[in-house]
Amino acid sequence: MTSERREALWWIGGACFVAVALGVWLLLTAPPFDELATRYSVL
Amino acid sequence: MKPRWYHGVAAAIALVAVVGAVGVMRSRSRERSDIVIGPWAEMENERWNLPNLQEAQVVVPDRPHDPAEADAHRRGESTMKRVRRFTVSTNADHLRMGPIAPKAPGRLRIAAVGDSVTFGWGVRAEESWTTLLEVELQRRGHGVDIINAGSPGAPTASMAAWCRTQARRLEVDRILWVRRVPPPHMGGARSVAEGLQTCASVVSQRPLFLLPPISRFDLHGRQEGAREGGEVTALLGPDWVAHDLTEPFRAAQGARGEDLTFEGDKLSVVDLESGNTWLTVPASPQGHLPAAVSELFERELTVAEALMYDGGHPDAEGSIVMARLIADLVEPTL
Repeated sequence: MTSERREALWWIGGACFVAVALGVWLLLTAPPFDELATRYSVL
Repeated sequence: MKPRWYHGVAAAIALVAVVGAVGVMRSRSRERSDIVIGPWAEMENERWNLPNLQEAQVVVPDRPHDPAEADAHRRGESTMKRVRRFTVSTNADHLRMGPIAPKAPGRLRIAAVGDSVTFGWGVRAEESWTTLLEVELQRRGHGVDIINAGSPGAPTASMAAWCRTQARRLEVDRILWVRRVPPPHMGGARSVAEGLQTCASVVSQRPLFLLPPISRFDLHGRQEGAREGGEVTALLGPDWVAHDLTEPFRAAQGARGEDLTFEGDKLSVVDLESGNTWLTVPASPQGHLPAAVSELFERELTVAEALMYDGGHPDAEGSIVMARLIADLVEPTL
């Protein structure tokens, strides 16, 4: 593998890692739709 | 560093990811409610409104729904699209109203102690029935100020704690106790009787005991509601009266909007104006609102109960009706 190819792999791999990390973070932090509202909306 | 083709590719991937994430966050924040209640040390750590909120956003269902649907929402599995948004601001005294001014001589200060209905869940603060009650009583010539001591989901223990810890401090003269009776596992009629007695001990005149109207789409309320007031007054004694607003509220609804009717083990959603039946489905043995009814509300945005928006809370027009009904009950006591 040439050094340019290796560097390209690092750059693109790093960007993909950032994208996947953002996606995982969004999934893990998915908030309840309206937790308070639905919990108390019919009393 | 000399720019290379892969720098551009990496930047494009990162940009798409960040823009996508920001988009998801923005769309999410439109559906998310801010937290507006929490434990309050000064009120015996009972849950109450947070103080000094400024335009906190709340998103609520804008149609009747089953508690199971609410759970599905929390898991992100629901398709509830029919929602309404409103904002909540509170003062330093943990109340959904402006700052409380020093009490003027000769003015009567009445606190409406209650739950989300009193708080004005789903409507703007100026549309809440407490604000409108003050306007109505002042219009009728009475020098009264109304304190909105409502908190969403307030259990009776919180309402009693409010009376115990806040009513004297805020120089409250009279109290309106406004809440349906909770189910037995949340204290039942006994907790209401105890709460009323607690509130009675901090003011010179017995609190007015008011039961907010039950929605036509509240299946549990329609089965149990009529007994609630009597169960409480039976514990308190013959001097106490329960004022259930359901019947006069139904009269104000008249033949408008949709109703839920029962025939045998089937229930129907009926348009009261035309008499047309939208659907007829088997009633759930557990007393849940059938999914088909929820789907109808999602599909047909004109399907709505008059004066109530979510099977439990008055809308802006319903709040006007409530304020007038309560003014009629309060006025003879002034």
